[in-house]
Amino acid sequence: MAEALFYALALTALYGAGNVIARRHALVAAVHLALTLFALSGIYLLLGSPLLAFLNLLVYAGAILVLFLFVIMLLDLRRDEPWPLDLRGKLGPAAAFVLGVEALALAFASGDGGEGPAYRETTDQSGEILFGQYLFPFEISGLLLLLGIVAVLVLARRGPRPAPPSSEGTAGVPEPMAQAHP
Amino acid sequence: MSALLPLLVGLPLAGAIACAALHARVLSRRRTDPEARPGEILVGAIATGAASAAFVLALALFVRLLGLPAADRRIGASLGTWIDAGTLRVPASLLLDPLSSILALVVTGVGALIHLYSIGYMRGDPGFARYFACLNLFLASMLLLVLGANLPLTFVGWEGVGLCSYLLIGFWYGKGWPADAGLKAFVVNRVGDAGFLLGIFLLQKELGALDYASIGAAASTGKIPSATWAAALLFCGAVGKSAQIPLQVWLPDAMAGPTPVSALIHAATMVTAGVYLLARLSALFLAAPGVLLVVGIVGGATAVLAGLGALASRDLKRALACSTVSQLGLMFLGEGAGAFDAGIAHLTTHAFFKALLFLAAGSVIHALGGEQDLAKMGGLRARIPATFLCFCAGAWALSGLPPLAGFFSKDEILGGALHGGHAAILASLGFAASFLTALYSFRLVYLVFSGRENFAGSPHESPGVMLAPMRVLAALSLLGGALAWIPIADARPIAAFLAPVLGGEAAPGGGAEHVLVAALSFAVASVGFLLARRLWRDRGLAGDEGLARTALWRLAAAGGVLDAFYRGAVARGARLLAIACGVFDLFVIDGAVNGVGRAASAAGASLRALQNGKIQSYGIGIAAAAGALLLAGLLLGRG
Amino acid sequence: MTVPTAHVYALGAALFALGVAGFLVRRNLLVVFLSLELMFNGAIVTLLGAARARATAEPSTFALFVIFLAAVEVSVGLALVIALFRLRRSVDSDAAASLRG
Repeated sequence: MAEALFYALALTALYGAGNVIARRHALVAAVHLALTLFALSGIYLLLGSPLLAFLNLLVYAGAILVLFLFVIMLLDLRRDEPWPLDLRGKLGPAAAFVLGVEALALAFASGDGGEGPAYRETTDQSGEILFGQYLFPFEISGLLLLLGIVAVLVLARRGPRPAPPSSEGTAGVPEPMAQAHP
Repeated sequence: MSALLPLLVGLPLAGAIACAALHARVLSRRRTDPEARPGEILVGAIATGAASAAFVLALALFVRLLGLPAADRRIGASLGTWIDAGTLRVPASLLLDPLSSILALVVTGVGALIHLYSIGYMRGDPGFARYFACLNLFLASMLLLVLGANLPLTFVGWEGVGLCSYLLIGFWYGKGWPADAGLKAFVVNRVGDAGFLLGIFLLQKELGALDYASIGAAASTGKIPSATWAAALLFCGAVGKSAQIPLQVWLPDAMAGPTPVSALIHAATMVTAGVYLLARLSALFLAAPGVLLVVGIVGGATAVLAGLGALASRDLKRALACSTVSQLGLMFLGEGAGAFDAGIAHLTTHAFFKALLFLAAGSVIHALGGEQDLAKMGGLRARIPATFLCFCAGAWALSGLPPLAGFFSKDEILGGALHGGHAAILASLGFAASFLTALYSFRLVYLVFSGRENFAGSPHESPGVMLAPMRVLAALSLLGGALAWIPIADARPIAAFLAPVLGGEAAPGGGAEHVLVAALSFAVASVGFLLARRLWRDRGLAGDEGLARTALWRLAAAGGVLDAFYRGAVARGARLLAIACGVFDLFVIDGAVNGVGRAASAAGASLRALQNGKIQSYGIGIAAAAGALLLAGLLLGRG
Repeated sequence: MTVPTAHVYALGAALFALGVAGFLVRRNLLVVFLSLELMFNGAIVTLLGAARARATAEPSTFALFVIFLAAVEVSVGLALVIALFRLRRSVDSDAAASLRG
């Protein structure tokens, strides 16, 4: 039963992932990422990591994805990249890459072999590891988060507005390529 | 050991530095005042004072040397070690022995007189202080050359005098051709100096010591295996410095310098450095009889050919320069015959009378306002009588007529040539040169001072400051030979004085043989004198006509053949080589350099496509690299 | 649950590879960031597979670090996207190609 659930969740996650990269609109893509993340949370639970499963839901599906949706809606994009995607010369290498990574993963996995034992970790274990052996990296991660906050504040501040290029008289009709390639 | 010895070199050096400082001050003043001139009295006093003080010092040392027993007449002075590198150890030590003492006396004595003369000759020249700085530096270098107790020190002096010679030949570099003449002298001397250096290297390799005492001791006991090569190489240096065939081409051109310079450097002292070197290394050369024969033949041939050149010259100073080459050849001839003391004797007397001749010629040129062409002189006897008398004394001494200095020293050489091996060839060359010497000496006298007056303007006698040195030198020319080299039985003072230094056996003086030589040499010189009198006394340059048809004259006139050869073959070859180097530089070196640059920018241009600013392109690179790493990990880590 | 570890790894690799493909193919920077999240999740799945295979909690603790990192990355990245949009009125990655050599 659990096996069937795993494969079903895995297929759902992959379906969501495929849609993340294949759908035209960022909003749709973000929603599909949410689908993927929910499926993955289930898989984490099945793999014996309930802490991670719930953190995934809280942080990823909850915070990060909402941030994405917020930004997407804030920017209110009307003009997006050309569609359908010009995939000439890209699809082949991309497919080869995906398949290659798969093959490599399977090749590496052969060392870990067989079916995993029934394994279940507890939050106690994770806490001991996190605040014991890896206390220093954990603190560094906290510092990194702080840095990220400061960086975002700096980036978001409306500094002296750079003089807009003359061709951009009104919002919505930019031709950035003209400036990017003098 | 004597503290005075370094002072002998140091005094002129200090004078040179002082004069150079005064010149530098003039130059800085000239920035605001283009007419600024040095205080001529001060500069002249410093320079001449330094030279005179050096002469007094040399004289004092000479007297002290005479006071020592004949066998150990050596005064040394050590200033520590100059070079100490591996097996090469060169002490900075000076040595005063009879040989260097005579040279030091000649250099400082004639030098001081010429300094005095120069004060008059160079009056009003804007480079007055520069001139005296060079002249004093020359004295210091020459004294270092003479007093150095080992070959490297002598070489330093050797190059120092070469440098001063270059500076002074090109003294009036603004005129163009003096600078070229200086360059020519410098370059030609390099050829000889290369041989000199190689000779030093060879001796260091064979012997491990370069001081004259060790070389002399080793050579006289036959302990130098390649003495022949060493002697030949060192002779190359002497050939260059003393302007012997085939490197004689620079000396006639060196007359571009001021006349006192020609007198001091290119007649009396520097050009005799080769003669000194051979005498200094007489033991080495005696151990290489083949080289000694070459020395004699080269000297003899130079003496004759340069004598012909002097005869054919229409320029007063050029004729004297050729005469100098000829007389140097005669000295080498004597040394080649083994009579080193005769070579040194002639060096000394020659310094007197050739300096005198040059100074007198300078006085003539001064009187005529810079005219050197013999065709525009004549009949000057009444206008400048004092100069005439001095010139006559010099010419008389040069021609080797008794009882003046040249007669005795030339006699010594001819006697040595007859006495040594290969007497026939060396003696005949010597007598031919003697004849030519008398002929061209009096040709000059007659062309300048008698016959029709061809000059323009009104010549005036030179000032006393110029005449006084000439008078002193004239007295030395008159009496010098008689005092020092009068052959009284076997007691010839100079030979006896030099004997402890020079190897080999001096030709015995006196006796029937000597009388024969003296008679022959007198006869030859007299014939030359009489012929010159007949040809040129009344007719001036027209006297050349009779000779001009002879083959010998054509040979002399073709003295420039070697010059033409150097210009044609050597210079053109060097220029072709330079062009080839230029082409190589332009296409191969520059090509490589530019090629590297072009390759870099081409590589940049092709790699530029990678830097397209698109994040996805970079991502492909990252992905490819990550994939490659994964693959590598799989193959290496797990494989 | 008796799913082979290899299948867990395969799922992680697939998510990662899809993320890479999206990163390379799409030009909308927002979607590019979404693809990055896919890659992160691929990594987390792989870590969990390893944790189960070795029966230790350490790999899943590393997965926590991955989530920290993703949070920082997303916040800074989205701030950059907004800044770019302010400047160029576009979130097309080609709009930020002025570093072209």
